[in-house]
Amino acid sequence: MPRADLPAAEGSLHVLPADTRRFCAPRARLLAFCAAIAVVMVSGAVLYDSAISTDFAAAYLAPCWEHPFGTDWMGRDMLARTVSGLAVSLAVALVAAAATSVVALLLALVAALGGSWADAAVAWLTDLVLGIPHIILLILISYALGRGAAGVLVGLALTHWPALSRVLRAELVELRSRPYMACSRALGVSRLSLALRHGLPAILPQYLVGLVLLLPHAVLHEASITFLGFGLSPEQPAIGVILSEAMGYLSSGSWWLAVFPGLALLAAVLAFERAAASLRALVLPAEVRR
Amino acid sequence: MRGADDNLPASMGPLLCVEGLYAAYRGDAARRAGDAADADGWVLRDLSLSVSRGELLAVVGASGAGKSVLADALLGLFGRDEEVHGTVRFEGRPLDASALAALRGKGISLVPQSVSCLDPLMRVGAQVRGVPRGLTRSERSCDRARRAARQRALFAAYGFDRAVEDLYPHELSGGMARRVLLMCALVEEPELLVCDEPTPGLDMDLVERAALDLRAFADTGKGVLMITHDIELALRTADRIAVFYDGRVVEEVPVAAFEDPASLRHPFSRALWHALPEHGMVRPSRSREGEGAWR
Repeated sequence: MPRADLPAAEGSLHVLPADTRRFCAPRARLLAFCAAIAVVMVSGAVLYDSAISTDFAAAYLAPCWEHPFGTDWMGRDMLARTVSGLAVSLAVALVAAAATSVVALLLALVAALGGSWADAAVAWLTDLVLGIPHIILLILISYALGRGAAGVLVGLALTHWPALSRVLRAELVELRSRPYMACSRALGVSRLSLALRHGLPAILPQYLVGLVLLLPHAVLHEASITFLGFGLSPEQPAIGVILSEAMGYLSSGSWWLAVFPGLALLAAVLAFERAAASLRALVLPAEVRR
Repeated sequence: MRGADDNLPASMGPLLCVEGLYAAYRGDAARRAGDAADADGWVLRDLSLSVSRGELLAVVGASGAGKSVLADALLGLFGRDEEVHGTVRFEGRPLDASALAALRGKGISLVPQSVSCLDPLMRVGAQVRGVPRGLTRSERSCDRARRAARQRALFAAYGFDRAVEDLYPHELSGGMARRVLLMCALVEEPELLVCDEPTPGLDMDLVERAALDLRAFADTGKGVLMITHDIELALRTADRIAVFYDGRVVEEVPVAAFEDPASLRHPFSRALWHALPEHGMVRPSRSREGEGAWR
C-alpha cells in the first residue's frame, strides 16, 4: 500500500492509511450535522419575525414560488414558520437533553460508586420512573408547573434519564473492578475523588453518544406535549404548535400546513440518529460492527 | 495488651510490628479465597512479623497462599466480608482499621503491582501527583503545590525528563512503568513501602533495577516489606526473610541464614532452600500425605 507521505506517482491512486479512512466519513457527517444545526438555529432567529407576521390577503395559499411551503389561515409564511419552529423545538430539546443527561450522569455515579444502599435506592427510583407511562408523567409535570417552556423543560429533564443512567451505571460498575481503581484506593484517594478523577473521563464517550441519542426523543416529546396543549404557548412557533393547529385545517384540503412541518420534524429526528451513529463510530470504535 | 515496647520512643522500636494477625473471608468472598483458607475460612492464622528502619523484609511463600491478604490488612483495606483480628503497631502506636486507612499513602504506601494499575486515560505526571488532600481550599492548593514539586523532584531523581510527564501509560516502556508505579507510592514520603509481587513475570534486567530501587529506598532509613514468591530476588535484595506458609510466618531469619540449611529450623524453609537451582532443585518427598506435611 503506498505511503501517504510520499508524492503520488503518475496515475497511481493516493490511498490514505486504513485508520484515517475509517474516521473520515463519520467525522464529515458529524461536521455536516453540526453545520446544519447552526444553519437552522440562525435562520430560525432571522426568520422569526416573518414567521409571526400576518398578511390576511395572502391566506390559504398552496405552495408557490413566493411561498415555497404555502401560507396558513393568517397568511403567515409556512417556510419561515417551519424553520423557526424547528429552531425553537431544537433549542428546547437541546437544553432538556443536556439537563436530563446531567441527571442521568449524577445518578449513575451515585449508584455505581456510592455503595450498595445508594445503588438500591437509584434502582428503585429508575423502576418507579420507568413504570409510569412516559407521556402521562410528562403531562403531569408540565401541567403542575403551569405549562409553558419551563414546564416542558423540567418535565423532559425529569423523565428521560433512566435509560442513559442504566448504561452509564453498567459502564461504571465494570470500571470499578479495574486494578487502577483499587490501587488509587490503596493510595488513599477518597471515593468522591475516584469517581470524578477516574470515572468521568472513562464514561465520557458513552455519555456523549447517549446525549445525542436523547435529542430526537426530546424533540418528539416536546412536539407531542405541545400538540396536546400542555407545552409551549401557541404564540411561539414550535413544530408541535404548528402541527396541532394544522389538524383543524386538513379536512379543508390545506395539506401543506401539516406535511412540510411533519417532514421537517422527521428529517430532524433522522439527522440526530445518524449523527449519534457517526459519533459512536468516532468515540467508541470498538463497538461499531463494520 | 500493653507490651514493654509501648513505653519506648518511636524511633527505637521496629517501624512496623504485626502480632497475631488473623484474617478470614466470610460469605461471598469465602469462595474467592479458595485453597488458601482452612476449614473455618481463616487465610492468615496468627501471623507475626516486624520491619525495622533501614531494613527490607521479604515475605516469601507459595503463590496463592494468601500473602496479598497481608498487604490489604496493613492498609486497612478489608471490606465487610472480611474478618481481621490482631495487633498492628506502626512507629510504636497500635492502630485500628480507620487509623490504618488514614495512613494509606502517607505513612504506609502500597507500590502498585503492574501497569494496569495506572489509569489508561490519564497522563503519568498527573497520576504520580495524585489527589491533593485537605479540608479547605487553601490546604488543598498547598498540597497540590507540594505534590507538584515532589513529582518533579522524583522524576529528576529517577532520571526522567519533563516530557515524560505528558505521556500516557501505554506509551511507557516496561522499566519506565515500573519506576512510575514506585513514584506513585513515594509522592507522599511514606515511612514504609509495601510491595506486593513487585516483579511479576519481568525479565532479569527489569527485576534487577526494581530490586535496586527498593534497596535504595530502604537504605535511606525507611522500611520496605516485599511480598514475593521469587526467593532468588529475596535473597539478593532483602536483609531478612520471613517464610510464609499455611497462613503464618513460620520463620524469620537474616538472609545469611539461607546459605546453610542447618540454620533453618522449619521444614518448609529447608524445602525452599533445597528447591533453589544452585542447591539441586530437589522436590520434597511425598512420604507424608497432604498439605499438613510441614506443620
